Amino acid sequence: MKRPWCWNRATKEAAGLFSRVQSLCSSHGWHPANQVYFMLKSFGRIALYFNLQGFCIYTAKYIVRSLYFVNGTLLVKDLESTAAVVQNNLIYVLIVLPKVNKPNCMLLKRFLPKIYIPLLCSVLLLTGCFKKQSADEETDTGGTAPPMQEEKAGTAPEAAAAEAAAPSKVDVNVYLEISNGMKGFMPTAAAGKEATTFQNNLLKLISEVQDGRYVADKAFYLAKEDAQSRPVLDSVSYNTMKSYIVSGIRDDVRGTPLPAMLKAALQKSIDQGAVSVIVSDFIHGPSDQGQFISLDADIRSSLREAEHQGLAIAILGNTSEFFGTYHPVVKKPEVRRTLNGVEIPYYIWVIGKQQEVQVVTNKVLRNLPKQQAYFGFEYKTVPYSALLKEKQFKPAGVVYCSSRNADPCTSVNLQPEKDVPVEFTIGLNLSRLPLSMQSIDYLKKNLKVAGNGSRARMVSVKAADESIKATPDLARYTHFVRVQVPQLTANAGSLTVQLPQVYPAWIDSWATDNDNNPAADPKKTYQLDKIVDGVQALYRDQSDFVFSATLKFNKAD
Amino acid sequence: MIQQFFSGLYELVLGRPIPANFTNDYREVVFPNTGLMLFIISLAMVLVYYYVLNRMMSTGLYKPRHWVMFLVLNAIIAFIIPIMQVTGNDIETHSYTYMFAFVNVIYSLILFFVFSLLLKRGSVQAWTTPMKWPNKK
Repeated sequence: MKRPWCWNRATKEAAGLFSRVQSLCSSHGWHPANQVYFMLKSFGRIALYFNLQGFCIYTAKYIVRSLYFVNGTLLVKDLESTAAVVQNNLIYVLIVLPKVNKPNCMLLKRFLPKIYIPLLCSVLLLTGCFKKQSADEETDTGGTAPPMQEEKAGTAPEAAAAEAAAPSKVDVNVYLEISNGMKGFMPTAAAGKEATTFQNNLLKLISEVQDGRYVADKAFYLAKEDAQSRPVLDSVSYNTMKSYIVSGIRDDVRGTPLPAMLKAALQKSIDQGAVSVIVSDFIHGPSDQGQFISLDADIRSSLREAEHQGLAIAILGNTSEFFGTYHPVVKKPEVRRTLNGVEIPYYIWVIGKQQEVQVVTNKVLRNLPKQQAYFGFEYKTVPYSALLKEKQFKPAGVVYCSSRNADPCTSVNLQPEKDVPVEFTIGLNLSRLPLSMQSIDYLKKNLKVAGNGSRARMVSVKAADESIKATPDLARYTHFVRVQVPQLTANAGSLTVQLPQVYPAWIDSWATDNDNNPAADPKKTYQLDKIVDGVQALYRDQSDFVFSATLKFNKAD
Repeated sequence: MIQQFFSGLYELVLGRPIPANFTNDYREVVFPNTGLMLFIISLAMVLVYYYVLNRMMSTGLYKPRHWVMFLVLNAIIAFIIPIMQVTGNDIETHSYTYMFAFVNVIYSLILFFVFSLLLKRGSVQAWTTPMKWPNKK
């Protein structure tokens, strides 16, 4: 047996104590000489074990109490403390040795209690570990772009920047076509005669362009054709254009070479860096009737530059009362008709950079007609997030964000079970989209949820209401799409909420192949569909979706 | 690693966290926090009982009923901690939360017992508490 360092000293002390115990015990008629074990334990402690088999517990306790007393009167100065415990018919006597000059003994005795201090500290510290970081701290450290979005932003930083910063002011060129066919929209003013819708709207438009706070540089042009059927754009003052609208057109312009006019207007605007606002009835009046056959192709090539320059086109259709001579394209049975207040369509085309077009449509034109069509509009980044912890949009089934603190959450773990399909809400910020695309009806009809590796469908679309706008975390999103995933077909994949480029339905109902009698068949424009086909063909290969928000998913483990 | 260990430990009995949308909060915060604290506090309680009270201080709390007192105290702490963790992390409470607390109590009993077995031989007065086995004389 390896002897502890303090063996000699301890045995000496123990032997002294033992002799006292012995004398005490013998005074009770008990001679435990051969039944006493004493052993030295580590850490400078000595324990004596007395075998008291056969003693009743009362006697044992008495002996222990006497031992205390013995210790007190013995004046064993060197002993720090003793204790005695009766257990299992054994008396345990613990003797703690005092400071000894031998360094090893001292170290062992003094050092031990101090070990508890760092232990205690570590317990206190550990309870503070793994504290949940609040979302605020997360965004503070992550900066403006959360990690999930960063990789996205990396692919198209310029596009995102261009989209994000909506210009406060734009340059606008207004082109008003003044062929004879337009005269009926702008009848000469007379007392007691109300202005037509066209006049009212156009006056508002040019006044807003002239004096509105959203327009920086402006220019007004009258579009007509010369004797060789070439388009001419006359730069005029605001007052001149106003007088044309108010008092009628005095020029005699026979036709409208539509593609050529569009091309000329577009080129001028591109040169000047302005948004084109083209107002016309968009009835093609070519010198050669054969041009109708190739109208879509001609429109496409006339606007080719717009697509090259990355410009977008918004087409707004409206009708106005028409007073005067109407020149239908189809000349049978009548070459011309005199109309008195029949509703005839006219169109405003806005061509320019996506964001600038929106400034014009939303802030300059303001009250837009129902008939809107947008071409070349595309949003590379629409802010979106799966909303899984919001009280307003409680998810159903097993679904949770892959990363606990991700904000926005663009990756989820889900596990649809039989009878318990996963259902959750995706928040989208569509505030930069054209207003008509933000309408719930439009989104309900056109928004698609596509699943890759899963079957998914859209349950509902909701716009932000007041209570949602008042919730800071949700105020970032304008629309909420509820998605249901009844089944997964792969362990990982994606869910995509996307808005396809939709060919507007009103185009076809506003188009006609015979415009000879507008009174009987109002609100139609000759071959409007073909014109719009040309525009659409221009952007067909650009992108299939106005935006798409892709949510990655993994099967939940 | 620790997160997976503790998530596995609790989910083995409890199953997937409910409501499921807080799965990551449970797995990354609540389970490891609770599990670590369960280990540390149980160990601390055992150390206090055997080494502080029954070795350094010789308080006379060496009887099995004293040991049971500490066992119950440890169990109460083990019940409170999970509930505090769940509410402290803004997680919706659910019957799952209380089941979780209950399971934690069971674990605390087991742990306290195991730590006692491992550490009681180092105690002077209480080395046979709660029973002599497996220590020999």
